[in-house]
Amino acid sequence: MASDKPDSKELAPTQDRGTWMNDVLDGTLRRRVNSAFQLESLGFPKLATDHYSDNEKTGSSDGGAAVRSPDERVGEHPKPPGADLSAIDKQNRTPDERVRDSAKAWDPYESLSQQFVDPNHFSKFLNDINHYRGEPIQSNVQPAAYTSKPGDTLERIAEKHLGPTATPEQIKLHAHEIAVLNRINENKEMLPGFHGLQKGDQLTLPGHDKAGSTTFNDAQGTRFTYSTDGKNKVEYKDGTGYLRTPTNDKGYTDSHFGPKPEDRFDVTVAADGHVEKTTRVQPTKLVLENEREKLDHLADNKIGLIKERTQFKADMQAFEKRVKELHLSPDEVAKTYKEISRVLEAEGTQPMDDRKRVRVALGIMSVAAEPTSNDQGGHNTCNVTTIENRIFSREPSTAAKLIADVATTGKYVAADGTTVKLDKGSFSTYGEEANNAPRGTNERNYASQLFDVAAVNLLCVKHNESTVPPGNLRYTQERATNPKDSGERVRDYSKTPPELVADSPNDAAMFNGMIDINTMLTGRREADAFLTHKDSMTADDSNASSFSTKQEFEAKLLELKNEGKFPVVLGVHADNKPFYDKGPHSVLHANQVLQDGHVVLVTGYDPKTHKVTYDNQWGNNQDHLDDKPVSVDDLYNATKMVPATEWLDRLQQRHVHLSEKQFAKDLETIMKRYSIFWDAQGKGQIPGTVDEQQRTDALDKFSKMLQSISPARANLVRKHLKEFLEHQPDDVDNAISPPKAMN
Amino acid sequence: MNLPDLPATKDESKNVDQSHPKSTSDHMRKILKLDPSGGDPRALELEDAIDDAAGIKIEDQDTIRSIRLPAGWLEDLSSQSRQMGNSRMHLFTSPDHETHIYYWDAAVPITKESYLAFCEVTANGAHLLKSAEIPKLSQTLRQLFVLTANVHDDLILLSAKTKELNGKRVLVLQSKVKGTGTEILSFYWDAGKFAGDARIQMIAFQGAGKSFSHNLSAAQKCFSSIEWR
Repeated sequence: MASDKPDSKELAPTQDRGTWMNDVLDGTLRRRVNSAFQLESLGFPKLATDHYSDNEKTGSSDGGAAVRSPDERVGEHPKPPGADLSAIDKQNRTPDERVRDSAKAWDPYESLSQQFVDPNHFSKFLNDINHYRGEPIQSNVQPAAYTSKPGDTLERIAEKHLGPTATPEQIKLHAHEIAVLNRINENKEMLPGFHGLQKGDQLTLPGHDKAGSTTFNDAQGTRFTYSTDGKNKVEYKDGTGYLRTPTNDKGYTDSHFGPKPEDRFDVTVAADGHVEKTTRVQPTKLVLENEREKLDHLADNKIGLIKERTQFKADMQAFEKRVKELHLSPDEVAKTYKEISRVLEAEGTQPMDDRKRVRVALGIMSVAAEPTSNDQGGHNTCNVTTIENRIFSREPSTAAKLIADVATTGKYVAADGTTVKLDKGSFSTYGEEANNAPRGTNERNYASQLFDVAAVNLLCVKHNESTVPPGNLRYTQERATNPKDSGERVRDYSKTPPELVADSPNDAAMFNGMIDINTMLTGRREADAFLTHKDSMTADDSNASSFSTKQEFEAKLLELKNEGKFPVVLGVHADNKPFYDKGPHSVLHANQVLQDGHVVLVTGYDPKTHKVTYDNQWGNNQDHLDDKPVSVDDLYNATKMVPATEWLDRLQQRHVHLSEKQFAKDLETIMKRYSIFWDAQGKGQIPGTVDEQQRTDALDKFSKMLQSISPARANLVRKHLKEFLEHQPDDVDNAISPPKAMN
Repeated sequence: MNLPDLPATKDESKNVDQSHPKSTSDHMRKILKLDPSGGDPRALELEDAIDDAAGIKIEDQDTIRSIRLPAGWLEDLSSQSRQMGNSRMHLFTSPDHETHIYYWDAAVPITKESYLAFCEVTANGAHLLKSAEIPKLSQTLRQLFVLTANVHDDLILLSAKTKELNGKRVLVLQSKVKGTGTEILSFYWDAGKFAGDARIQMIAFQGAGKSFSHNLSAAQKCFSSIEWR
């Protein structure tokens, strides 16, 4: 800022200077203006899962130190005496935000509606790309963050920022770009998503240089320069970076630079994300015998526990056997060994210590030996786990490189040049990853944690560097705040304090996200290897390969098999068989009905027997590999939504086990969830069309089930359902997410 | 009989031409018409509310037929939850917000070795586990700790015993989280095999310091209310 002194002369808001909304709107109205759609405005209770900021409760000014990993906290912010987990829990999530009345626990409306209308859906953040690059103001002024004060106007802020030498024209242009970049109305006209300037607004003020380029800095010290000729320059704090030049076909060429020779390369990326050409240095041809011997020697010296060392060497043998059987290039083995050797050779404590490096090496070797054994554990990461297992199956050295890079340097540069740097906390091991569990325990290993965090962050970085001003979304793995919490967080660090966006990456990496991650990792666009039923496709799945019938599904499987593209990723609804098959004591999960999105990795298809094998990231016991293939019929059916009648049948079957009150509650829940689903489908807000016959059958069944309980209880169900239907919103945000959550 | 004047459904209120209602909404309206023999539903609604105020009753959770939560405890309904396959973690919080009761709603598979060690120790009748028994359980405890508090390295075992809980043999562990005042009382039992998998089900109570002691009796009463299938 040219001057940060409080202005003694407060200017009244005028049309030219921007609208001073505090004086115009009361608090409630203001929130409604600032938010595209809030359930509260419809008279519904605030959702426990609304987008919430947990940082004000950290009580720290450093942007959320309390949510970092314990080892990081010990290093930077010693824990006060007497601090305990419950205190951290309270700091991060107040009961008011996280806890709902148990009487409402089974009401499905909140969670399902939230999926439809939540304006802060993670994928919406990622899809929100602004290409406005600012105005060509030729002046040396540094970018800044500014919090608006009473009396501020856009022009006043622009004038102070540009300094005394600024011309009136420059001030006008700067005020305009501040308004556009911060989504502030410049006049009384209310633009969608824009708001009036308010006291306390955190504004990003772009900087400029003499050539007229627009510049920004982010909190990590990265500098972004948008020049007037359409080029972008990104300079990271460590001296690396790239200059991006757009190509004629909507792609771009990045010229990477940095202090080391490997930092310097050019890569041309097509509009769909695939790498057209690269000058990045490829490793010279390796000699397998040499790499094997080196790794074997390192294992002897670095892996201290005999049990682990023995397993590691057994995994080396299993890996080589697998590669041979699948006719993968022997070079893949050598390259994978080289990556693992890099991990074991590393020294020091940053970004991790020796013990963790051993865990990483064991993890990579284990997944390379048997990719289908790798599981998501207690995390919502089925999406990135399928990608990890697929890449480990086909080109293990690519997956091994990602993990080895982050384990040794803390960062990873993808095939297309996208660079991710992991937060310190994401290197910590909190739960299952600390165990280094042997294969077969269904737990995620530490190497896989690093892969997951880096892979999701590729998507975040891609977004951050595509929008103006640059975004600052990051996905981290943190200590769970309670036993139910998986510790996954997506935060918007461009806000002060950082704002929590999601506690799972799953809605970001729907099919389009998965395809993008896979493209960045491999450099190839392999969208045809990501399959989903057409009726399950949303806007976030538009790039996936879809099918509408079993015949189409089989034809695609055959084609992919013949083209050597197996294994392939398949979207399923996991409340169908064979996923929903847990025996006589299975739990109904009525309050989770229609939230059953999941992806698995189809590993084999036999067109003669019409049998399919697949790897389910839920655990080895859930896999259907060569020893227990399933029919194509079953797997195809699992790609479709479970009909309401099926749920009603399941409830009917357990009628004898339930009290009448519970039976009625579950009945009501199922019908509420399907009512909102049919309603949204009828309005075209979610994929597919309403199957009228199915709906009629469900209503008939529902009616009969009501007659099977006492008239008083049936009347209560009727009352609740009638009230519920009355409260369904007429319109919801068009950019809805599907009624599924990838698990 | 005076039935309550319920609000019209959206379809009812919006359908200007009632002589040609949409068939589905007509169907639904018919189903939702109150049955005079059932009386006023608000009476039952009040009865349910009084019942819930005594503590929410949960039914049909795999081997648990029913369990009554302590009065005033609320469920955490945050959108995402730890999940093991199709099993979801449910977490309830005490009125003082300081302690939790939580469980997996379906039994979770554990490795065969862990299961056999578990069966061996629970087969020996109700007893306080001797120090010689603990090493045999190390792999089992490792898995149980992760299932319970989502931590392993940080958990310290304070005591272990087996006991009868309403006719079922359970393993009871008391543990604490290293460096904090957080204590955990957890119960585990054999949920039988399904599709070749050995399964364990669990429920736990967790809190720190005085809150743990303060809410312990309510939690124990809750555990005692478990009715098995």
